[in-house]
Amino acid sequence: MKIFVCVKQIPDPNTVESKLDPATKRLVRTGVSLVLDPGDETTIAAAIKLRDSLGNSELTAISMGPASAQEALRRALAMGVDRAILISDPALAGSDVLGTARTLAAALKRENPDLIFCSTESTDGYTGMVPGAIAEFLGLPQLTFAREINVEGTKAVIKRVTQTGYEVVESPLPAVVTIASGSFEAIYPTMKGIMSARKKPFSQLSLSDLGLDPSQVGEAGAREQVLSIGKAEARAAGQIIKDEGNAAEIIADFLQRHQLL
Amino acid sequence: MAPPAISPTGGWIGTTIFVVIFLAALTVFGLRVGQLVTLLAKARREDRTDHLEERIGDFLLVVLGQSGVLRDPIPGLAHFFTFWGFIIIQFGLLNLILGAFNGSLLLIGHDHTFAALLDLFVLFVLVSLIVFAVRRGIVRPRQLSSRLHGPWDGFIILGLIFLVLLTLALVETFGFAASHGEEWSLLGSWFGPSFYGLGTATNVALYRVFWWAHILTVLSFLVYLPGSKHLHLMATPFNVFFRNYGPRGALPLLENLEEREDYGVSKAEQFTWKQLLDGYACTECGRCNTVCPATNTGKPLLPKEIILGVKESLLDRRHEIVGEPNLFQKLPLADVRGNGHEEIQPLVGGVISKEALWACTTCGACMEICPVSIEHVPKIVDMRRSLVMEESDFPPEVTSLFNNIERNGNPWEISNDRRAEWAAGLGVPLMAENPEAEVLYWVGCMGSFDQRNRKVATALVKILKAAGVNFAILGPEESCTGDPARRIGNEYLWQMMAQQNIEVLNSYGFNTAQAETATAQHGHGHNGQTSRARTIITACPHCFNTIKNEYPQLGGHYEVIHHSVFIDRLISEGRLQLPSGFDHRKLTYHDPCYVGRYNGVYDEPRRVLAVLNSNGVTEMRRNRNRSFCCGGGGGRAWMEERIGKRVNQTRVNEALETEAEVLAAACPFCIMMFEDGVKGVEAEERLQVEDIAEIVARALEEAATPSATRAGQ
Repeated sequence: MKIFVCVKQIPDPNTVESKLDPATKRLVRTGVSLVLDPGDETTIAAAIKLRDSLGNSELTAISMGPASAQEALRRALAMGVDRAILISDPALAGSDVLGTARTLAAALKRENPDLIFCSTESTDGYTGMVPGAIAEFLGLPQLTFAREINVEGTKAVIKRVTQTGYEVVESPLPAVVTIASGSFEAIYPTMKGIMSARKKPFSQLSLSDLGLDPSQVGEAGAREQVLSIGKAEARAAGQIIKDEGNAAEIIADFLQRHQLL
Repeated sequence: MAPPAISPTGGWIGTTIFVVIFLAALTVFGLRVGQLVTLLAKARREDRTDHLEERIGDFLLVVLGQSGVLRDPIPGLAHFFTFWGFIIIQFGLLNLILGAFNGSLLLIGHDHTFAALLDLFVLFVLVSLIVFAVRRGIVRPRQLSSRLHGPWDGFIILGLIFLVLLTLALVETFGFAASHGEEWSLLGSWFGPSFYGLGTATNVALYRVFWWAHILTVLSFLVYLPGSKHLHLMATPFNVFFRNYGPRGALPLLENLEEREDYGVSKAEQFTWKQLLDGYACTECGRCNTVCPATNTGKPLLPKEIILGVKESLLDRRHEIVGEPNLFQKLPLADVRGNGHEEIQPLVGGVISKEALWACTTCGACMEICPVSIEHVPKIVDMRRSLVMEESDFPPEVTSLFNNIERNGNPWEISNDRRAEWAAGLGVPLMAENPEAEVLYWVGCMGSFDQRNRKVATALVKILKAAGVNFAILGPEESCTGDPARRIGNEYLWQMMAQQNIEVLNSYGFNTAQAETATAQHGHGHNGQTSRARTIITACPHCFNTIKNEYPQLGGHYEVIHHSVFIDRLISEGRLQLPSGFDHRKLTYHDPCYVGRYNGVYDEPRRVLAVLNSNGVTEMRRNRNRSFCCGGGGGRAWMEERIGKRVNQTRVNEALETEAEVLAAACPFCIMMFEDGVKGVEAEERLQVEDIAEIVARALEEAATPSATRAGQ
């Protein structure tokens, strides 16, 4: 089986304080520490697990981004992915959900995938719309919020996380599957993984390789526009009640005022 | 070569039979030892021929002087006599063997002094055997149990030694009786005359019977020995001779990470020959188990079982290692284990459990107490290396530690840009601002980011300023030294961090190897300041140890001093004026493993504390080189403690036993573990945890404002 996993390089969510560029109204991605999206690390783990259980399958990581995104793909290779594809083109800068999905879908289409893994959402943009758009561009069914995934014959069967438990959902292959966050444990690369990552197949594609026109993607093809950005209202300081014998009464009053009692 | 009074074999037929049996036993023994040596020869290479003069000196002291075992006086003394008795009895044996050829040993063969000495040692060994038997059979210390050789091995050995002694005594008795005193011996002279009545012919016959019994017992012992714990008798002298003379705090470097085939040890034969010799040398005394913080708090780690597990796994795989088919396989008598087709378990996760490996704090107490210089910690780390770098199999909470060290240069999800924030407003220059600083204060991650240990860093700054030290810190240029990564088994990450830090330190001219070259090239340097090797100080023993003892493996040679030593030096040089005895609280001091055991710093911190405290330092039961780990070393600070009692609480309780009000430490990890431990046993009201720097800084405040309330009053 040909399995794919879509990944993204993002500013390290653990250490980089997100900043928005007031002029472009976009997230500042330069001059900060960039990492493979931690969410994608667990999605990769899910894809590796499935590949290993199926046998005779190949897992490819695919990413759209600047040249620096190579690092994120190398990490994916070190974790155990077999092959990587980076789509990089200056014209892709400023792509919105539509442009991103169009580009990834074009690259995936050339590969005739059987199964495409995506994280539910990226940890920087949080739109959660790219996987659905890819499925739409490729005309494939999409299974969402998977916490477990199996292939049975020509069907993908998942356990889909719900508020109370899970549903078992299936679809014919090929399909797009999004992984519910926290369902899999990220893989810390072994030395063998790190060393072999340097030798695994790595291809880089430009827009012309995909047969896409620059007007369809990037800033030029963007169909959504950020009109304005603003600071979220700071949370007001809480009220501290010092117990002078009547704290319980004050708290009860407070709760009653808010109709919580 | 005077002939004996009585021929023990009674003629050439007996002598021929003896020769055949003797050569057969010697051959079996030789083959068995040959198998064990072949296994070592197939292992990895390691050079242990440095420090030759010290090796010879220590060999004499530890092997001939038995200084290692004598640290535990009762079994130690018994062992001393058994050891020397064993050697002297060899000469007696040789004399008896020569008797079969109508000869005797030159000089001592018929010498009464030697004969008397021999029998005195027979008696000493007999008493020792009683001590051993009482200990093994009645006292039964838990550490003596042996999973590898079973419960009987120890008794079989004691029984064999007893038989050797008994038959020797009988040979002497009847030799004396049969020769009417011509074949003189002390025991013979005591017991022999009682048997004169049996008649010479009977006495000669009995002499011969017991001569054979003695010889056959000794030969069975010889054949039994290579497969038993008593192999130590041959291996230990070598093990002591080849012990590690490098810095004790340095783990072996894993070379050529880029081109290696394996990373660490998953199979016994991947150890070096010296690591495997440790298994042969282990006497199974179990002293290591008695001091191990993991064993003592109910974790599945017993250091002795690590050593024996490696030995067991090596012997399990002996045929695979030697190559099949081999002589030892075809000839079961030559095989130390016989040729059972037992199911072979993997070394890691089979013979030795992963939980045992993860429970180690690398405190080094096991290596400190081992009388035969066995190296437990490097083995544990070697096996951790395989788990981490080959299997990616480690406690899940460690993943974020590795990622954070690699990405952020510290163990947390904090940008390293914020590394100097703790020093804001304290007037601490960065090295970049004060490149000529005389002292670099290496703050470490704990001092930089951990709220509790930032107070220690602040206190140390106060001290350095009061002493007028020209110092600076690296701020964001400093990264985690990699110590926890290395001890958890991530050698790759340690090397990455070490190289990064070495580059930074070298750029400010701290590398003593480079400074010497510079001096050699430019004479005395332009002002004597820049060519002088400069000092790095740190309050973190883990940073201290890895920079001092391990960075040289990658070319980084630095003059690194632990802050407790530096403060002591400032006081003795008169640069710090401190009020003596200002602190009246009862105080005890905990020796951190990586300043104490691994680097031998015991006196300096005590000297500083003794000056400041009117009561001096009250010692805990386990102190100095016997100090009991806080539980935070070896990367344990970053792992959950899921099994057994808590190590930190165990140590805090020991501090409480002294009725001390202050538990002084000199390590940020100890402080973190103890703060937690004090809360755990709900002793916040009774016991304060303080770094030595905090106590000194308070003394300085005291000196500045004498009217202020005195601490502890």
